[in-house]
Amino acid sequence: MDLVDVLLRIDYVFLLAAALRAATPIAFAALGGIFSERAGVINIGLEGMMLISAYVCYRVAVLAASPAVGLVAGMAAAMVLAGLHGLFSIRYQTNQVVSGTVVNIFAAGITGFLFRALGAQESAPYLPNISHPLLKSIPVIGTLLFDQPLLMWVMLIVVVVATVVLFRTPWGLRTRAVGELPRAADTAGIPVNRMRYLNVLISGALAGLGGAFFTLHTVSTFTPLMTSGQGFIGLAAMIFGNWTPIPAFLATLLFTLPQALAGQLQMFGVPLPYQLLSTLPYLLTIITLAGVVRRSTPPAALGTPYVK
Amino acid sequence: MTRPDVVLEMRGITKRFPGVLANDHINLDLRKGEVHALLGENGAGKSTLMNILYGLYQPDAGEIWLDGRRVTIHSPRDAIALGIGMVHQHFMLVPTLTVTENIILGLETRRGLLLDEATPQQRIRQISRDFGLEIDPEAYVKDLPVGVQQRVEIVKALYRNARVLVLDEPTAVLTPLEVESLFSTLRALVKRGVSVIFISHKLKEVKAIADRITVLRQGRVVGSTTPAEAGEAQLASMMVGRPVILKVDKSPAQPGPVVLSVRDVKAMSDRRAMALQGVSFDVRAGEIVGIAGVEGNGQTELVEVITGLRQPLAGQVLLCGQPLPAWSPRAAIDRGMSHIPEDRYKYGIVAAYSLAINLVLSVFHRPPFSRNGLLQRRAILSNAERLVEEFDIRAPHAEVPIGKLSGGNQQKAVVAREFSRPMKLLVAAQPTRGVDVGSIEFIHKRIVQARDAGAAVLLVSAELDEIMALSDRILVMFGGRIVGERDGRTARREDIGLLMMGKV
Ligand SMILES: Nc1ncnc2c1ncn2[C@@H]1O[C@H](COP(=O)(O)OP(=O)(O)O)[C@@H](O)[C@H]1O
Ligand SMILES: [Mg+2]
Repeated sequence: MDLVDVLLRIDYVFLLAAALRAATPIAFAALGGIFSERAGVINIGLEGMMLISAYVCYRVAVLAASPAVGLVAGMAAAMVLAGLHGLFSIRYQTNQVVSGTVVNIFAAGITGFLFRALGAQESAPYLPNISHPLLKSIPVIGTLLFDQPLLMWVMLIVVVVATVVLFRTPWGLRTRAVGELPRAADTAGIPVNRMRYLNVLISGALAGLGGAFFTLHTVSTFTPLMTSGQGFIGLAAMIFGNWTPIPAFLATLLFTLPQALAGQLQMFGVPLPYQLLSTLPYLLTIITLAGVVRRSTPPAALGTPYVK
Repeated sequence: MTRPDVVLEMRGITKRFPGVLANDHINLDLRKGEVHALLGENGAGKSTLMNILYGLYQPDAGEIWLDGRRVTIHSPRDAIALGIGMVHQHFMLVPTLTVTENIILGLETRRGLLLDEATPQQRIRQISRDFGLEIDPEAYVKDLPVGVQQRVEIVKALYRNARVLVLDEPTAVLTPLEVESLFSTLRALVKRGVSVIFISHKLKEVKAIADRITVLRQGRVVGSTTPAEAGEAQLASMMVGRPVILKVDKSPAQPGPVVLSVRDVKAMSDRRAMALQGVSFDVRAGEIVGIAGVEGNGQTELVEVITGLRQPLAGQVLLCGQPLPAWSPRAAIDRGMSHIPEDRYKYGIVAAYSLAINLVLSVFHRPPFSRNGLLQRRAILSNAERLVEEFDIRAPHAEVPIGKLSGGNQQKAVVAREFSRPMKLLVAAQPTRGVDVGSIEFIHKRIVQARDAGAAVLLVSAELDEIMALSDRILVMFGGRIVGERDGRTARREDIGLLMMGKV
């Protein structure tokens, strides 16, 4: 079978559906990044926040025998880390990249330790798929949307809600002002640092949802470092999408489509080195960060603590 | 307690920053419907006092009374609620937001959960009509010229129902015509009962607009007067604390051969817009050519191209007939160019280095300051001592980090360094920005001396008075082009002002 033949036989709807699923945690990270960074706080700790959420989700879901309880606990854990990152960045004016790195290292360390100490034999209860016997059979849309993980749906909704919040509500207006020119926001009577804290917490909550995807949808168990850099890919997507939800979401597909394609090709037995294809997202991330960054415009006050 | 027509009274306001007493028991009262000018040199404490009034700083001591009631202002939010509005020296507008968004920020109206922009826009248009403040509510602030941004700031304050309006150095960024229109707006405001505090260090303007004048020096009130009582010279000496000569003494220029020749230079700005659209002119030995223009019309890029800090897209810069290699400040320096840069902190000094090192920044690699790859401390220090003496730089000693000196002394150090080399061409960009009147006098005198010694001088300044006082020839820049040339002896302010706005 030659490649052209295979390419003709691939089910592209199925492929897109897989890419959408895989994009879920990345998009959550990207959305989280958008809230934090639009308010002026660099958040490279998303990876660590996702990881801690993945672990806590797993552990609590097993204990409570409830994926919902696990989900809430995971989000709370990620928000605690986000709160610490906020405290370091906003209150103590630590370098925000350093603070985010500390979050990542801490999350990797603590989850790795707990994994070795407690193991992860039991499997966690899954979150349900959103599946509808009738809608499922609608061509294209059915495959894309109506037999998919709950959290993917949540992600799609958050993409829309985030767009509205950021660009059509007072909250969003204030958030953007605080990230662009905090002094102007301050003189307009807006509590700059409170806005920043709250947006960093929102970013933690979103990263928490992203982390839950790994343990409550994908594998129902925890393995160390299972987020495998997807928080960083999310940041790349955020930059690619110019700190705007819908474009950032579309950018995540750019990262996940190659991998989905690799999966398909392998199924057809095409002798493509899978390993090579699965490095594609990371390669794209590096290229994005090196190249596109220069053309995108981050919020002007990004990374600068506000001091009166 | 207070007289009925006094709206605002600040009593005994004291504010200390590390190492400076910015406000020292300041008393100030503002009457209903007056324009009260706060006059003082850079660093006198004017902005600090107003930032206290606006709740951005907390005073260490003192009281604020509004309408006969004592108030405490913890934050701008409190100030806004009390009817105090402020147009800051550096505008507080978010460039990426629209005019409407900037104005309603913090006071948003909603429709359901969403932002309502239609209702505020009606009010903005109303205010804009009432006071002759023409603005487009839907424009993005980043696309607006500074003059318009200032109108947005004023509308923003009025939208918040300000009864007391503070304007911090509002004319610094305006052309003479825009200043006129600002003044007529202020007159309209005052007629409606708004009280205005107008901060400036420009005597002419203060005399033109103020009902009363309070002069600040080194954190203290040195006197209160009215325009009718005090002349310009008197106000200047109150500001400085000694008599000052406002006029620059200079004999007619005796131009020699062409030293600098700029040939059809085109260049982009940092924001990748065409900043120079083909600029050509000559500067001869022994003349001062002044470039007038509102900031942001290509002057910065022009100076950068000439001094080798920016790569032009097209065109040539010739120094004494030889093309200068683009993008090489050292080549420019080696061939006799001196440069007083517009942004002192970015290009003029290394703030953390000592005064002595800063005084040799352009020549440290040559003997006697460096031998066999090693810096010669003794030579560097004795050079510093000589320049400190000659240029009257006030510093505790030559090894103090230059960042610790006042703006005026930093600038004198830059001037000293640039004048200490043999000089064929002097490029002076905003040479007296943020500098006290005493130092301005000194720097102006040295520039004229350089000319008389046969140097060609290119002076770029946003201060029209400075251009008028020093230039033998005046070129006006607008939109990246030279739009006019006038003889320095016969040029009229109004005429140059029109050219600066592109009205040829
Ligand atoms: N935030 C600050 N921290 C430390 N020093 C300051 C601060 N703001 C102003 N100063 C100092 O206080 C003095 C008065 O400054 P300012 O009020 O800005 O003067 P003006 O507005 O009259 O030019 C200056 O010496 C200045 O360096
Ligand atoms: Mg000031």
